[in-house]
Amino acid sequence: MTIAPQQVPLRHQAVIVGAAGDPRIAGYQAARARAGLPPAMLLDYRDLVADPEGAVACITAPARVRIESPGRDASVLADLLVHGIEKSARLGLHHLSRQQIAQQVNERGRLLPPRQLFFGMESVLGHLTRRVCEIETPHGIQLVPDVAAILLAFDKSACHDCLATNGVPVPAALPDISSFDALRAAMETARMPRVFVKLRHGSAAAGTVALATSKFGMHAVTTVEMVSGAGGLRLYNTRALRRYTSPAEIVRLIDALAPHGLQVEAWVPKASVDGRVADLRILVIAGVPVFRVLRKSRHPITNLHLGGERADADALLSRMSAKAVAALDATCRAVARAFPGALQIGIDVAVACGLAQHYVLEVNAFGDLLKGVTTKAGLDAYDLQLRAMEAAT
Amino acid sequence: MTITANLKTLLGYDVVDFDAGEPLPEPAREAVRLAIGYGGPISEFPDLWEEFMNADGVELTEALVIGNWSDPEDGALPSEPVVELIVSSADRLPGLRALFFGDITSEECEISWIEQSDVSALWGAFPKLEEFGIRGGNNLQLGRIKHATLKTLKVEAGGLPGTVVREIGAAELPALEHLEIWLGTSDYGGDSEPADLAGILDGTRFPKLVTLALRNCEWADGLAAWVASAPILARIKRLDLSLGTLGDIGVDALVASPAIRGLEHINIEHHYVSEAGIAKLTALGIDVNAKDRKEPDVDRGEEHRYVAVSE
Repeated sequence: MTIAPQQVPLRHQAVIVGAAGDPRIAGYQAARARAGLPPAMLLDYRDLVADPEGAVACITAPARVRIESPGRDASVLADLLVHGIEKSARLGLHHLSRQQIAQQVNERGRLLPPRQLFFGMESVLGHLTRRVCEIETPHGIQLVPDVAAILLAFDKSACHDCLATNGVPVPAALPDISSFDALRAAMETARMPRVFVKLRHGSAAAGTVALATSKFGMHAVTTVEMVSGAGGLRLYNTRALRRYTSPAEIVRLIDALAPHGLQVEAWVPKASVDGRVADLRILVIAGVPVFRVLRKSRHPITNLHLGGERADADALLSRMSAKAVAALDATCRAVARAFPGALQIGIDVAVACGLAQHYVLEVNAFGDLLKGVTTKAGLDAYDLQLRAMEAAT
Repeated sequence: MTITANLKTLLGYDVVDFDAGEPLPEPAREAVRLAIGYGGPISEFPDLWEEFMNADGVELTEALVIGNWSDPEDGALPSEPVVELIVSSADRLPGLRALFFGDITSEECEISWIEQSDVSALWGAFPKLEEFGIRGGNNLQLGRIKHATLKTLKVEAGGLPGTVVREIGAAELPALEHLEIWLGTSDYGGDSEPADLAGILDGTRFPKLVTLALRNCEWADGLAAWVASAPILARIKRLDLSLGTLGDIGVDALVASPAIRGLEHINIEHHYVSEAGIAKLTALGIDVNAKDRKEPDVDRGEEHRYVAVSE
């Protein structure tokens, strides 16, 4: 395993960058306690986004810094968006002003511009990378995962291309879609009547549209709710999936999402399990697939917070040929190789109708929060990561 | 709701996929499913069919499931060439007792977008058929249905044309025990009316009928009223009006019918019936399935009820 740019000795400062109160922090600290390790120092995102330079100064070498999700705290999201203004403006991309940010972050369900959030993360996490570079000692600071891995996972287009380059099966993509008209034309040319439209920097299926077309018409199933008002069309995330069948509404939806930056991919028809649409979340730790969880849903969008149910992956894997299962395993290892800076990576995989082929749909940098999932020996994802780190040093 | 499940059993046999180059499933225990898998080695149905025809033991096949027949790049293709292939190979399938045509999930193609065709040549081609099911109402024609051994006929659609309902009503199926029709919605071509059902409801056509399932109906209250006063009700044991828009009006019509007490089971799963309405049904003393009660959507003071499967 090659995660360490520098060797970190056993006696080092342990830091976790995360959102106070996030179950990810508790899960990790509990695993440390089980391993007889002192709790890691929490570097709260609230402090990090408020004063990145000052906050990272508290990290002193030798240190190992675990980076977690920034969570959903409105003040953190607001600050991340503010940090994303400069780059968005420089590139001339759609973004929110400070005033708009203040208005929108507290609005329940409002779809916040994911690219601006991404730029904010890039800016803030960049301070951690700079801190690593400042302290150039043989026993320096190790970031786990490194910032490049996080940013790659959060940029669906870059991630898709990187995976494809590494020989990982991914759905065919339609690049640079900027409007509904462009989407229809590209679908026609590519002979791709069914697509998943995703926000390039989106997460948790926010802004996702499963779009099917035929000579009879169009259907869109989406996590987006459109609300018209005086200030124009506003977009909200909804847990109750919406189904749009009127072409005018679908045009409006795609045209409203497009300025945020899209990643459009072929809709891989997923195999059914127990009468549900199903896909797999596979957690790879130190290059080895360790947990496989099935997600079953009545809808094409299977995320658990959208009504998907977790189930035993064997219900699907046992129906696949040995060859297909081995290929899936190889894919997981190949994904891990494409993320050398990540200790763990959560991979969402669709096994297509026919059970012969599979496709990597998403890669999650913070995909290791799997409540209640353990090995036979009772080790959870955090225990396994601590062991993997120990083995590497 | 959309179709998210593949067929699990047919004729009591587990459905098992046929993979080109692999041995056929056990014909005496398993049903064979042929489908174009996504991204698989075979993207044309005729190629898959040829592999099936050349497989050892194909002539022992008793139960056959036809899944998606279209290359995903083409979208939904008409079923006509598939019907022709099956019919022209009938001599290689002398023992076929069950056929399901169109085991396609909404991940592959919505039920209302499946392109069916005239499948009437199947009736003569497979004289031993006991069960026939088909999904998709677009361009569907069953033709003149005449079959001596068919016990089960299922037609699933998000919208079934009234012409198809009439074809079923004119069928000569002396052995038929289970008739299941999904009428669907007018939004997707389901334009059937009570008159289209006359042939079915008059009760003389299917002497052995046990189960009448008129499911997924957009005008289920009206349908229930017609069924309640139809001669067929006295001849069957099981009535299934599930997946539709049934409400109290329909239930009142049903419970007022003396013949309803002769039933063993009534299924209204996915319905809009009030608690009081359900109580009236259960008071009949027959087995009732009233699961999945729905609330109508109210939009600008207007109530909307939906069938379970449309798109």
